[in-house]
Amino acid sequence: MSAPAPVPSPAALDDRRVAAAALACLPGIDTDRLVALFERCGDPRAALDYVRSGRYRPVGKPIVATWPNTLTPARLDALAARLAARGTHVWIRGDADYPIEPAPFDAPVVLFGEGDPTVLARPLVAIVGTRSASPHGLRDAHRLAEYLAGAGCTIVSGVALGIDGAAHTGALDAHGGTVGVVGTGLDIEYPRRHHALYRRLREHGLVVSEYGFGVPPEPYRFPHRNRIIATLARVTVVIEATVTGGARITADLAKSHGHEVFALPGSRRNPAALGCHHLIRDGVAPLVDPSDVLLALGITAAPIGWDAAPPQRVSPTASRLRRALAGEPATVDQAAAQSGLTLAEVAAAARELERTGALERRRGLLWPR
Amino acid sequence: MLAAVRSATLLGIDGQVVTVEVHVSKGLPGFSVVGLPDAAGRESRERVRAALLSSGLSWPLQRITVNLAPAGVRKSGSGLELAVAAALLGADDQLPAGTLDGLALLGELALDGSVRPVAGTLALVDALAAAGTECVIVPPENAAEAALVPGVHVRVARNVGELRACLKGEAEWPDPPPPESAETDDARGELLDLADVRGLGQARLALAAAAAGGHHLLLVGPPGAGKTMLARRITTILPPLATTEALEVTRIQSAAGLRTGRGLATNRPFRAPHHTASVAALVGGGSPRPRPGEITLAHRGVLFLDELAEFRPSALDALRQPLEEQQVHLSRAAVSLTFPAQLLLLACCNPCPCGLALVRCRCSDVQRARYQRRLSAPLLDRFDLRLAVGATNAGAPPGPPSSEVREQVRVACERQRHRLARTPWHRNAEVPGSALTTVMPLPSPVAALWRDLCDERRLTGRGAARIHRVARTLADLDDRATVTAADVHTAADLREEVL
Repeated sequence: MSAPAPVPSPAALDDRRVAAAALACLPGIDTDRLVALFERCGDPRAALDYVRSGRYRPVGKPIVATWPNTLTPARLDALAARLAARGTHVWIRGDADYPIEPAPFDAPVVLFGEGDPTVLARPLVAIVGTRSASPHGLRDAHRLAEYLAGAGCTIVSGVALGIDGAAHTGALDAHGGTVGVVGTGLDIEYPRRHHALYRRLREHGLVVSEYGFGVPPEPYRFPHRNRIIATLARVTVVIEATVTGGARITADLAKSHGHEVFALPGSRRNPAALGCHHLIRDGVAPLVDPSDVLLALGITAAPIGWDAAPPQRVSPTASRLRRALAGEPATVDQAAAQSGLTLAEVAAAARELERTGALERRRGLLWPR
Repeated sequence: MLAAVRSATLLGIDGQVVTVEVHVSKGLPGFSVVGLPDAAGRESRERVRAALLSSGLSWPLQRITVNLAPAGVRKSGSGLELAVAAALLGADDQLPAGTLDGLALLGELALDGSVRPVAGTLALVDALAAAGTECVIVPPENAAEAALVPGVHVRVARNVGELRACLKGEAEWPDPPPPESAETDDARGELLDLADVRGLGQARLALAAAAAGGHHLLLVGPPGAGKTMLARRITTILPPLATTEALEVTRIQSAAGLRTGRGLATNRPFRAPHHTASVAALVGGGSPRPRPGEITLAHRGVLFLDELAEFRPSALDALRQPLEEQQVHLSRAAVSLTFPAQLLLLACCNPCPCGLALVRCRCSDVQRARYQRRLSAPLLDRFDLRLAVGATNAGAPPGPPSSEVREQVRVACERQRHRLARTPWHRNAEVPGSALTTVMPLPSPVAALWRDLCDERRLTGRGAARIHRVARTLADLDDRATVTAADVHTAADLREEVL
């Protein structure tokens, strides 16, 4: 079912695109108004002229009075120069090169993109999840993204902390394609901790937003941008999610668009897995093997399992510790109590497992992988 | 007529000798105090007058001028009143000439003529002795403390009338009262025991290491894990105070007005300020004369900051430099003081606002980040021992009792004393990184392991040195001469990235 996505050629910035960008960049404009303007006028240039004329006066929006002044020819030239200098792509809904195909009714009328748009031509898989993810979730997101990107997919996610960041990083680490759909203007990097990730995304992937330059991060915009993730990707995978979080919204939207959704089951002791378990109960398929995603895309793949390398041989105390932890995180004290080892033995065994990659330390706990 | 006698006033935790001069002359009857007294000093006029009259002594109806020399130094408190009264008696010829020579008096007066205790006796008598005073007359409650200063004869004044009689030789000096039975806070200490705490093996080990080696300790865990319970029991395992240390503690506590009627301190101080404490309350401050803060009151003892993340970030960051220097310099426009602050910092906090188990936390990433930003990285770096404490099963076995751990700590302190005998340091935690390899070298295979471990965890030089010191303390606690690989492993585990 992997319909060949249209290859958006980096189309030249013409008047139409600059006009669309200028409208999207108007101070205080929201998606509904932009849609209304486009629908009324049909063409961005017509919409621009209409706003310039000062006849557009929606009720209860005093800032609209300033819009004609922000659309002077000099300002438009400056915006065109800025778009060109940043290498920003401007896509308009209904155009042949519009990346979301088929475009649902709520697809953004204007979409900005920075980076390499050719990654959109590959099969798109969304990997989403909670921002407060467990080390296990982060690792699984990274591993899955690495595998899928290596198999030729492009990973779509939201550049948020937690699962999103791990998914993008996994795809980039595999030298694969990835698309970050953000809820701010493309000139704003949020969260700031992802500064380095943004740079990598711009160099080797693509950052996409429906918001004009200067739009700040606001809580209500993030669930809204999730619909772009859900519509872009053919398959959506939820790694770890809260019951009512943004990942849940993305999964529900993807389902409503008829796209395949997977949820990764986790331990009942892991609260971050609860959202996935709710999804599975509501009929979402559990993701048993990474290759299931490829099968859903119509790509033949053999099951590969989650662990890249088989467990290595370790000393008897280390394997005793590993057995005692049974995959669950524990403090050193708990590990000692469960395994019957002394604190010093746990310390040495934990280090051994750490070196073989079977265990990591986070927030003062031992997390078996 | 003129008479002068010595007394002393407190400047921080040090005494400042003051000469009290009283001049009685013809003129309009009046009483004025000059020489920068504070409000309490100015009010002393009423107390001195009432005390003399109640004691059956006469009040000269003449012009009385009291000068507190050196005139440029601010005098605080009411401890000069006894000296004022004595000098007034001298100036009014109610005492034979020369009786006040070589004497110093400390004490506040009550309206009935009796003498009330003053704060900081030890520091005051110390300063007077250094200035060559042979005999100090103090309130009865302060006698035991004054007697700690060698080379000074301590006499007791119970009231002004008796004082005059004794000075004139008409009566015998009263005997100083016996010091109150040792430490009253001992009683509370006896009730606590480490055996009360169940589980928490790693935290117990860290607590013993903190008590023995002087390593600052941070416990992070969910509410109800037993962090505070464990931390409060550190008083039961601390090594006893050496005499010089006890004098320092007594001096500070006395100057802060925390002990009256008691002699030498025998317990290490344990200070646990509430998390609303201000910067001045923690490090000391106040104007015009800075007073010692909690870090100085915890000198040679423990400063326990429960709910560390709830303290103001400014107050916590003010601790950084004193923790490193083990003293604090307070500079004000009028005066600049240095207070000692050699303390063991013990702190507890939750891992995040919800405080739940590290695994079951429901806080958002942003909430957690905001909470953790309250604790600056440099402050966290000061803790040699940082560990996550998990919830304990109610059925976990109780740990070893305090008496057992106290013995371990004592042995470890003994070992440290021998090792550090010819160095300026006393505890493992104080040895600077540059001296570690000479003072407490690791055997070569253990040193290799230590280097590998520090590389693996990408530790800075400072972090690596901290693991080295803690490993040494762990070996000391076990009464072993050499540090083993297990010590290094355990030490590295006791210094986690807990937040």
